[in-house]
Amino acid sequence: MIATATTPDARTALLDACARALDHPGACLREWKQRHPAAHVVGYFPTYVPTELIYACGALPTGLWGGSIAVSRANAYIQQFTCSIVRSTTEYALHGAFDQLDAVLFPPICDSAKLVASIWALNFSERFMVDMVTLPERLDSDASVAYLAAELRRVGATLAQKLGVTIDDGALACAIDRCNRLRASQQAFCSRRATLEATMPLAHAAAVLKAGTLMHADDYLPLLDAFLAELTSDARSRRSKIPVVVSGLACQLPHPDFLALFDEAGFAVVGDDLLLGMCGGVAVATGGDPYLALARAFTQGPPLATRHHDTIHRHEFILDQWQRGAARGVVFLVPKFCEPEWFDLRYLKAEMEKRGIPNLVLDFDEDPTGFGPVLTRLEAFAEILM
Amino acid sequence: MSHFAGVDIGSLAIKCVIVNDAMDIVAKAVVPTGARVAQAGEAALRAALESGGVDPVSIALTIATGYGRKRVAADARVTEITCHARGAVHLFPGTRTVLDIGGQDTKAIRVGAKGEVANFAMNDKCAAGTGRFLEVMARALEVDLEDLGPLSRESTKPQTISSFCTVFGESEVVSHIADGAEIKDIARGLHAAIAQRVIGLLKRVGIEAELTMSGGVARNVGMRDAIERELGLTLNVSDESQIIGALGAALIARQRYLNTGEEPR
Amino acid sequence: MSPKKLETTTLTQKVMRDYYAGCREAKAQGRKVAWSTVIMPTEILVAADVEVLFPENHSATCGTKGLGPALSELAEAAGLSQETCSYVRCDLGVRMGGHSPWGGLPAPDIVFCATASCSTVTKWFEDLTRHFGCELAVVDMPYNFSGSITPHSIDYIVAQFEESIRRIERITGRPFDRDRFTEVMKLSREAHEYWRKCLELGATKPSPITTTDILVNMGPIVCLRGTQAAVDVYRSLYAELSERVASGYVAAGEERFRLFWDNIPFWFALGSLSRRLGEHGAAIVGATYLYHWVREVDPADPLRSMAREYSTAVTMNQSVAHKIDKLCGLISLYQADGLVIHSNRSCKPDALGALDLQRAVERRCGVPVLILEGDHTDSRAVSDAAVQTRIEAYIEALEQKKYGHLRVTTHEIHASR
Ligand code: SF4
Ligand code: SF4
Repeated sequence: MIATATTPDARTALLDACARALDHPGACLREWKQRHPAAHVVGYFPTYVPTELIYACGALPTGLWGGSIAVSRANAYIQQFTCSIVRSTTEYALHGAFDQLDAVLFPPICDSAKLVASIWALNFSERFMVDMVTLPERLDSDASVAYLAAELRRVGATLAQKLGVTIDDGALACAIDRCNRLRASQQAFCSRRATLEATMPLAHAAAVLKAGTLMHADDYLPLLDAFLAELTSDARSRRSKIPVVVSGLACQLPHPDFLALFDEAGFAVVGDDLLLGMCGGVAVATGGDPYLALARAFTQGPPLATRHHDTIHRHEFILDQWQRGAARGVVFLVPKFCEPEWFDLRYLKAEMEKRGIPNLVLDFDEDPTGFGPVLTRLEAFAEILM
Repeated sequence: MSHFAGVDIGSLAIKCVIVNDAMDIVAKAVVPTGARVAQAGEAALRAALESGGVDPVSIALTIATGYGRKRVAADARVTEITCHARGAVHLFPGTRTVLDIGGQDTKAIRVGAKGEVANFAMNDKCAAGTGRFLEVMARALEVDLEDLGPLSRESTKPQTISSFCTVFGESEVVSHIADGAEIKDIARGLHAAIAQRVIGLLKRVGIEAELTMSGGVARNVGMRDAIERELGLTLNVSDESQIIGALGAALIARQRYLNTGEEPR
Repeated sequence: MSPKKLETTTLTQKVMRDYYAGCREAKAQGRKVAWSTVIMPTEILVAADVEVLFPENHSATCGTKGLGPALSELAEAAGLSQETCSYVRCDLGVRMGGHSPWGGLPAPDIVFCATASCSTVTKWFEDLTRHFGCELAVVDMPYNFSGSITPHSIDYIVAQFEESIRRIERITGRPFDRDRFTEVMKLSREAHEYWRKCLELGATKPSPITTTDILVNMGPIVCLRGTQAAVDVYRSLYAELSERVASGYVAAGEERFRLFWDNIPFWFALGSLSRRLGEHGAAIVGATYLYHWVREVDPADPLRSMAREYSTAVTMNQSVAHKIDKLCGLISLYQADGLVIHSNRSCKPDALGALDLQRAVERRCGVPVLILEGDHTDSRAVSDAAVQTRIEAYIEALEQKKYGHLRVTTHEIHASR
């Protein structure tokens, strides 16, 4: 049977909305504000901040992704031996791209992110409030949960005060429910990778997930759910393609043209841990202390390069994806100058090699050009796997 | 008799090799790439055909490789990584590791017994550890690129170049010159510095003897010396090192043709 | 005047030699050995009779011997990117069989890692546990974004100290002796006190001691907190410095320019850098780095006081705004004429923010600030020629600022003829 897996409408509606959210974030934000004149907008740096708290304040949470902007002004704030997302977001901020925001929250995911948060606080506090959701680095201690619950309480209170609102239990419960539904739908989307592969290239799938961090859940979810409802399995899926798992860090994705090279080189991406920190989390329990529930859910999330867990390891997650997708190889995407990911890479590669799993490492930044050598590497890898 | 062509489109030169059913090289040609890649590719093929007196109709299959492989007409395209491995194993059947230092990039390839690629690594965007580094340094030293290798062999007091960045390396060279160091000693240091870099790359794929060097820089004796000294290994270097990629492409063309039995064009 | 040798250095060297020998012996006798980050209340381990070694300190030592590039190359060949902190690359290089001045460190039975200095150490120490197959205790010390530590942070850290103590009890098979711990904490406080007083004297103008000499004597405060040996070293150093100040001894020559240093030193060029500065009459009289070990611990409430001090003493765990305040205070304390910031590509947590620091110090203290791009151990990332040019231009700027004109030395006049 050769048929499109969904009616074009749900698919097109979803992709169009996502493309717009990604390509014109400023305009989308302005429109949203027009529709919700009293509401606030709170930006957050990847990978994880509890958007539940932002929704509970009646505000729109919106992810601050970098992008392919030529970095010049930001060079007066951040040295060049840092990853491109910290530099490009700062460049955007210096161009006033985030002036519509009321507040920005940073997670301390790595040394660079901690310091950039601090640099923003020093330089941009007059434009918007800058605060940090100081996540625990350990996910494996009961003390982390208690600590994070208290920290979330602090952040919630500070944010609400800044926005001139109060967070009541009802609003928080409602926000938790909304984010749970969002996560569930995104995970359903991810778990149907194999089917998606036939209808949607990796670059588009990534765009759908990324747009989920930019749009209001109430606007985004209906589109995603409609698409999922119509998605049926497709016999055509990846017959002639080479199945691989792609592993990378949650807080940066390569340029869409870079992701498109996977298709060009003949790969079907049957599993990945991209964007994990954003949509890979577990559902937040309802009833009981909501802050504790949020904290517990965070510590039970999937393994991340930037968090420590004594017994849950990232390679196990990748191997699981590999097995489920019957993949033939693993491609690691590493942002340039991203220390956590470079450290993990050494061990992840060793784990793959121990099991004879062919793997390829591609480093990247947000530079939208110069993909020739990347394609060569991908094609050479395909030649090995063929 | 059928023939098979391999065309390697490099940034500076296009190499073309034609082999016969018996895998003998019957013709080859090297032409500058220039701005019009598609035409230059055809010119390279024509030049090879003429030089070997090969009938164009006898070419059963053409495979293009190299960075410009998509910009020329060919029956199929294969990356230079696979082609270099294939070509190197053909010339030196004991080859298990291939090192290709090119103008823009450097590749370390580990190969299996049949010339298949087991693993590979390429340098990142930075130029250190590529032929480009030597070009820049030759200019700083005001000597011809070709003379750099032979010169370095005469060194008696090798200088060290420790920076891993081309720009820093250049300023190190300049300060060695200012300190009155001899060109031959600096040249020796330069080759040692690149050797360090490429050995790092090689170690990422694992160095297994025999090690065959391909690409234009293989002709540089200074470079060969430096790598051999560092590794304590003798390198395989063929007179045909420059055309190894094109040779590999031609051999893969032959293999594919014989397997699939495609009709001659 | 030829510089007088600091007597205490001999004592320090002996203390450090004994310490390493002691660790080796402990290992040989089957006693427990731990590795730890330097920012960690290792007093807990000392109280439990566990020998502690510090891979950061080991890497710095490899750096002073110029081994950074060779060890880094080994680490890079073993798959660790050149974009990671070179302390880690030095350590991995040694683990891969590279040369170490100490012949490597005895293998650990457990590794302790506190995150106050950076998150990089977590990745580093995760690798250590994989390498040695030993336990890892991470003590998470959250970033103090607002400049002040939150009460829940303190509770969190204290809970992890308690957890660490339970781990140590399990590893050693002995109950933790709280009385012994109090004694150790008293020694720790004493050593810290002397260290702080030594730095205060060091700030005297003109300087009684060079920063290099202080660095040479840093081993015990880094590695031996909570021991009598550390107290002895800094009591002796304090006495010696007091005497030097009283007698008006000047350590660094003419001190035309007093410079303050920020970030970890160029370990591989300690001597050559101060010589180079000395040629221009400039001396580094103090460094932020030394102040990471200025802490007030309270033996009466050891865990809470250490939670506060260990997670706030280092600038890496503080906001840039806080670091700026701290630096401005130190520059005026030292009556420094300038600030040199090492933009250390290996140490992002301490290097990022350098450009804001530069602007703020120039504005608030009115002193010129020089940023030197570099790396603390991997000299391949440092261009000697670029450093030289920058220093010369900087000195010219200082010259004009302080003396209103450029000094042309006779040497230069000869050279230009
Ligand atoms: S890409 Fe890496 S270095 Fe950059 S912010 Fe993310 S985790 Fe940090
Ligand atoms: S990043 Fe900085 S603080 Fe962390 S281990 Fe390296 S040098 Fe030390």
